[in-house]
Amino acid sequence: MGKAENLALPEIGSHALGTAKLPVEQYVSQEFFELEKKHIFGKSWLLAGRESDVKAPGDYQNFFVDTLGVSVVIARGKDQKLRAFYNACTHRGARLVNADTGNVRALVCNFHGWSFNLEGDLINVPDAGLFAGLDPKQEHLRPIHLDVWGGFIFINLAEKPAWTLQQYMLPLDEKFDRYLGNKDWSWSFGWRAKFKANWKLIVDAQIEGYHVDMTHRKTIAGAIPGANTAAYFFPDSVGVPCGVAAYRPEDASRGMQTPMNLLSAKYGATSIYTKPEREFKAEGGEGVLNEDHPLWIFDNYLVFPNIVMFVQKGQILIQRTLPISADECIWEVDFYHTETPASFGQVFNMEQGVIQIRDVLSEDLYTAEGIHANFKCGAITHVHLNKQEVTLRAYYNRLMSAIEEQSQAKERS
Amino acid sequence: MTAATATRACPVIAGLENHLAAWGLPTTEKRLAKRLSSDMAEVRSFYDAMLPRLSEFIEYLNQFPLDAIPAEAHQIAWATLAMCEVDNAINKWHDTTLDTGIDILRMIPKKNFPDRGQQ
Repeated sequence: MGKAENLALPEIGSHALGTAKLPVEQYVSQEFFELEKKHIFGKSWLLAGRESDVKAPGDYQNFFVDTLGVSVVIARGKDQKLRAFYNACTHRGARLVNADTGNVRALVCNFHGWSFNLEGDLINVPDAGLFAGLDPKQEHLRPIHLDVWGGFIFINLAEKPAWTLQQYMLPLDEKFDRYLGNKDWSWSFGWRAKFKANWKLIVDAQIEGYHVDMTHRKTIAGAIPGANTAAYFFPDSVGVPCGVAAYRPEDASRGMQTPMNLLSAKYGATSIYTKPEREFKAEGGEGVLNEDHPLWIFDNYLVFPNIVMFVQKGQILIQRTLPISADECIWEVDFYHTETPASFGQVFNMEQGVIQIRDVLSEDLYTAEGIHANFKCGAITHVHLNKQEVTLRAYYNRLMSAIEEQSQAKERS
Repeated sequence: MTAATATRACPVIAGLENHLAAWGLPTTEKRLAKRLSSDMAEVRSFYDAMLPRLSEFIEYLNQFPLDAIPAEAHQIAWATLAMCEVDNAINKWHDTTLDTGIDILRMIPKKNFPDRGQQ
């Protein structure tokens, strides 16, 4: 293949999912939000944590689905198995753990002292003789479905999930599972914030490249030209409706490379906006990383309903958005790297990368609250989507089909 | 390499003392707060004074294992990292803050993946 062919970029998007304007009720309607709570957050696989954060027997993590009032304890048992339970004592319903993370020998309720082992069995009841006919076997903590993919812990609140997690993640296959689950990854930094905006608006902002030139005109414009981001969609996937691939400009001088960017690029590879002189190691990226293309930087994937996962060589970015209500959400971004800084030069590179992405994210987050208010007050009732924004159409279609199929499944049962 | 085998001597900082004292702060959050509370003249003066020395500082600091950077060089290390904090202000915004993003202080740094702060 010739060099010119090598540099060819994929089609920027598609009109295959239609060209009609989309309504906006699903962002502001309380009625629709109730359907989302029940059929989306109550039944989807939700990314809840990282397996390596719950490594030793007794390690636990507390995961919240705020809008459902659900607190999930994810704990590793003595048998090394990860399990998830409602954070609820089966005596009178008190929460068993309150910290985000910890290590315990048993889950002991602070109210009256009922104790559960890490397998969820009730193992001790103070003054058990005070109860009439108490059968500890019937008082097991209420379990929640849990599985691990790509090193990430997912939970599913459904009584019986409609798909296994592996089915859900397709077309991201076992190659992605292996690459992202590689033991080399470690958490490096992240942020969280609350927004007065529907949770989906924060997702929308990350799944198209049309915004890049304008939204990021004061940071990275040019370094990832909007025209070098290609939208794609997977209409047959239940859990990964769409994604975006980003490529550097053909003309490497595009985008402002400050003296600081160029200096930091000598020592590491944290920035996604400057071609580094030094690359991260990344084992097992075949079939995941598009390293055949000399300009490729990352692919991002929407993991339905609320995760945008950026996959690149040696770096993963996870954006999570969870609703508090129809009008408010919690946003989080977390970075994983295959290498931790071992020299000051690498610390310097990491600092430059952290600050660059922080400022870029602050721009991505700038529009959601205004959009939400405009939808809510009725100023805007429909939105236009171009072929590069086909991802938002794919997201909308998946949202609607998930609600429809879950509602129908209930009617059938 | 250990401190004992370090070959580069601690850089001469004559003339930079005030900048190092002002910007040589130990955390990203403190350096961000410093930028937000400074005016452009102060940011520009720091950037212009540091930039010609930056490679030399990094190369000097790079010779130590991270946990063996001598205490007397910490301020140089932190001021070097503060240059990352003022880069956009100088080179892109020509202002101490970005006016096309949310208030940067709304983004709370996390300590780990499950960190949700105070419930």
